[in-house]
Amino acid sequence: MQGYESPLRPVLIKGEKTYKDVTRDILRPILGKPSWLWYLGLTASSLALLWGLYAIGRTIFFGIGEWGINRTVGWGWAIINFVWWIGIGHAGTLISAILLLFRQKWRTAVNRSAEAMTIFAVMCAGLFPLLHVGRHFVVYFIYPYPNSRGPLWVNYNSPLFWDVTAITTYFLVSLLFWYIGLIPDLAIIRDYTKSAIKRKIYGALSLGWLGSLKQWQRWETISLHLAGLATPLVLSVHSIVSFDFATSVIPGWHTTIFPPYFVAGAVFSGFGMVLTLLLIARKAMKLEDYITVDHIEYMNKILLATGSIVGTAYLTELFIAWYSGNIYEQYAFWNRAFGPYWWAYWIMMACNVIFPQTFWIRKFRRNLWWTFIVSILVNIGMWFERFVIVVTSLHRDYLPSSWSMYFASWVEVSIYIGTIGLFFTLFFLFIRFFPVIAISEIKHILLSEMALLKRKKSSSVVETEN
Amino acid sequence: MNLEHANHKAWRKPFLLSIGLIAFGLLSALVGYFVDGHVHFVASWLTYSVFFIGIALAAVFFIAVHTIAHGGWQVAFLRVPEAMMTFIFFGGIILIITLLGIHDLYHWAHEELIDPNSEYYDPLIAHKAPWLNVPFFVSRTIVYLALWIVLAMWLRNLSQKLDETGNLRYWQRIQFVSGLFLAVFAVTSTLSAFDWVMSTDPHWYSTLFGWYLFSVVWVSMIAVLILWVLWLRKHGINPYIRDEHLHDLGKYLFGFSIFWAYLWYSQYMLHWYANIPEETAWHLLRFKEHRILFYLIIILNFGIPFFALMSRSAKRKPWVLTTVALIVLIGHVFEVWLLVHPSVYHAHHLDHWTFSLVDLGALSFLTGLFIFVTMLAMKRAPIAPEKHPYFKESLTYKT
Repeated sequence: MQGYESPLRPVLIKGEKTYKDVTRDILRPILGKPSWLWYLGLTASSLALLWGLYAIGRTIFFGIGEWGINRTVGWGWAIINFVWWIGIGHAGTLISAILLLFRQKWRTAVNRSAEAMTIFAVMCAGLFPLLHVGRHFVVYFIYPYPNSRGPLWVNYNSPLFWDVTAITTYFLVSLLFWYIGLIPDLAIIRDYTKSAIKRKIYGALSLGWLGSLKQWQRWETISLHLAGLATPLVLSVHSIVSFDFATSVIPGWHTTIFPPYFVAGAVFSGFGMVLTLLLIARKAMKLEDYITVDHIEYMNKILLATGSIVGTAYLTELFIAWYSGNIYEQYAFWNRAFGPYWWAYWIMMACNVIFPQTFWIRKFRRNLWWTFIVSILVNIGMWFERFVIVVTSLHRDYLPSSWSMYFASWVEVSIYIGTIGLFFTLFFLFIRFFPVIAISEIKHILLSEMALLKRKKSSSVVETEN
Repeated sequence: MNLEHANHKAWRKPFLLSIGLIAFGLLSALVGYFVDGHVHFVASWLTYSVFFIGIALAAVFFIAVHTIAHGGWQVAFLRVPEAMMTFIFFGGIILIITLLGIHDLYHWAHEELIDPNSEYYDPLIAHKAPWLNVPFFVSRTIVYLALWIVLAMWLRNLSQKLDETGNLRYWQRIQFVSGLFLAVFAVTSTLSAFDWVMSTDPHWYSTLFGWYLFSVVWVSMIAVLILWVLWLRKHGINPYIRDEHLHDLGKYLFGFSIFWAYLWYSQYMLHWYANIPEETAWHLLRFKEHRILFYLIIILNFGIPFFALMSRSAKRKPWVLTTVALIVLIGHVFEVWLLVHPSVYHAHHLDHWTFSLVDLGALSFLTGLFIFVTMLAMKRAPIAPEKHPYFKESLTYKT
């Protein structure tokens, strides 16, 4: 990572900073008093969470009949939200694992919050299958362990079981990765805080970190190993989610492009969410010096790339539906675009394929308002993508006599709102009690960035990126 | 322009090798034509011209994607992929000549199949006739090739101009053309894979096939790149290549071999699991008639690179890299054979031969030509783009 850097590259930290500046700037929101905005945000999201809990209570008490799903459309908002949340988590893993392997230094400013987002998103996702199984009191049956229930084991042939395995692994590795990354930073808070109780808590959480050479060496080793483990997870988790659909024989679900296309879509939606969160966080917490417009531009480029991959996949599916000569495939795609759920399809197309294409132009990539709008649109578009996949393929199946429509009940909608509440509650708590940017990693690139800044000032090269 | 490297004595070796391969290839293709027959002959030329065009195309992709992503590490050996991409033109000519045998290669090219009054009428192929017909197919082929050649030559031209003048305006234009290429590539790579390779069995379809074939040629391109880079370094022709470059190229070979396995598995497993006869037929043919090759490609393309390149030190050892790159290349040579040949024989109700003399002929001719063209292109430009804005980064970075 060290070595000469071209003055063409943007400096990732704005202004001349010292190590002490970095610590102070990032710890400010933790050591100081939160603003009224923070309280407002936390209250609003907790209320949403409580509302969701009420809806969950009704689902558990009265059963799945509280939902709008029926015999034909057996998978509804629950699986849509599950896939949506799992997808959102992918940006965190991609940033912390794959971008680390590709030596992308800009990741240091965004990895911590993206990893936190991953963990919270997986928690929200995991809730839905848990509720949908109906018999919540025996939900632990899904884990294969020698048991007293006779020869009763899970079905290893079922992609749904692979899913349980993949997501459990994903959650554990993401949590470990995030926590181990936090340790040096927690030690910094321990050393800076004035409150004795906080010192005790952060001291315990930092596992006795002293910052010795040996500790740093071990820490680097474990980080690299976890990155190696997390890299295949980026691909495997959403591939396995796609197998839930693609192993079936349902038109619109059974297609071989699903695994890589789901992964690209997941990264796409994840970056949509990261951008939404960070655009607010950098403003609210005054972190513009660390999360610069260049960082936003890098993420917009990833949005453009993954959005284009997803768009190519949509078109490939359409082409093959015609090419295959399979009338059921052809009808499934005709029904998506022009059937009763046509609006969902065109919302998906517009949000995922058309709007991100504006990022070919540099001006749009660097416009924060436009980025914010597109990031919201991407979140919406990716939700509708899952809606289109799940609902339009199911509601008109092979037997016209069993065709039906599906509309979510207020309970389903409330559970969804509840998970958004859960997500933001956890996120607000996270930015209050943990450093939102990895202090130690910013310090890791500080020297080279300051050297670059100096060289840029002395060099006559003007900014020439397009 | 500094072309001193072109006079290096070591160039004699690849020159002689390429001439030898071309001569041997012509001879064995000729003999093979009479031994193996017409159908086998055209199928071999289709397979390997598509394979090497794909490698050259992947080289353009390598340049475009690293330009767009502002990669700096690859600049020291950037002239190698820049040289490799000139092959699209020569491979394209061979492919177009091969298409003279379009009726032997592609079952759908027979008119009687789409004639409702004929006893051979095939409703599925008739349905596809608006897409799969000879004039449209040939025009598409020409359009793909023309687009790639124009964009690749434009990139090469701009890169050399940047080298002469050091004017960063050319660097901006390289970025523009790279973006344009990636947009064109997104559509044409999938469609060309569907056309040239997938339609050898016109009944079969798989949405992933375009990306899957891309992973094949992409990994093969990295293997070829490694071989050239190691050779240039060994003879000191390119003094800028360092261990770090080898290490990163080794990571690519390791990582994208896994990526290839991922896509191979995704396609195979989904067809196997759903067990729809229209889809499994394609795999079954390969599994039944060429079981050894079927398993062999998984070992060569995934098993060996996965275990051999896992450690850091292995990726920095030239002999390990050379061996693994060659193994992976052989694996993909067999694999593309397996993608085309069984379908073509099956359409002709022929016995399922294995890899034979005529395949070896087409393969060695095209390998020779590829080496020759790449070598010539490398000699005609400075060995490293010294005025590239990220050149110095490439010389100093650490992995």
